[in-house]
Amino acid sequence: MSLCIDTKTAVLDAVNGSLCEVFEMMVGESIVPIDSREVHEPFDKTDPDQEDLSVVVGLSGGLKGSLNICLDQNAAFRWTVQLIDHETTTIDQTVVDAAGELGNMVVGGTKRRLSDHNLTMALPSVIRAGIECLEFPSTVIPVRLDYCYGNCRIAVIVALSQQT
Amino acid sequence: MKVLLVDDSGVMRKIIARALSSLWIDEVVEAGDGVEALDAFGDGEGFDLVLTDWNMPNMNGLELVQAIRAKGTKIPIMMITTETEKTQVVKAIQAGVNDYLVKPFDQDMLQMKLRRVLPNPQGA
Repeated sequence: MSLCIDTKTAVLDAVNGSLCEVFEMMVGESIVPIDSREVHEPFDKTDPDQEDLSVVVGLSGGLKGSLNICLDQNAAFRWTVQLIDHETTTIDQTVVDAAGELGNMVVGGTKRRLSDHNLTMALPSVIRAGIECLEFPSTVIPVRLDYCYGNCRIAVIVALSQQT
Repeated sequence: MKVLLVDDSGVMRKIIARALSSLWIDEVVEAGDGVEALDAFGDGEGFDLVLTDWNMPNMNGLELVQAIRAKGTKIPIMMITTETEKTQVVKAIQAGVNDYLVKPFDQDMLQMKLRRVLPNPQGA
């Protein structure tokens, strides 16, 4: 059975709502959605000089796939400073932990919004790699949500298997 | 006043400790899981509040609450977690949690909850 449009929309709304809520509540800053589209080509790296971070969360149960939050280096620094006043110019363990905590809270909020879907979400993993490193099986058509976070960028990739 | 703060995330402990520092707290003892927390808690002597996450390695927050209540202490316990399923919340309350805060939260919400659950020496 293929994934229906209503389910896909519900998941994207849940992820978007959860992400915006986390930023607003935890650091008092609104992130601004700037684009949302299906992606059929490999992702490009935005800035080759930046070391980016991605938070990857596996989905199972009623929906299968993954939720991926990609922070450019400056977004990761900005989030960490705003969250716990930790200033750094390199991606250290505190920045990685802060990104993991972002993933945890986004997952929690998404799950709460999708309580009808019997969704199981794994613990987030943080990888020191940007969006260009994400690859998906051919059964998945990822949807990319882009956000402005101050002068930084955040991209969220929702990759749901078309088979339920 | 002494608080036991339990969360496997150092980042989250820092956020909560920051909120505690603006209240009438003398000492915050931090633990990364339920086992460490129980060890630090001992017989509970001197502690006035326990703040705990739910999902942690070794011993989770629910098990920690049950273990603390099994000691017969009535110390206030607040759970701070992303768990929001009704059945989970009920389980936490049945285990002896006095208050519950869902992540994400803002500082005002956290402070309001802390003020409500903390014994206030000034009676304010």
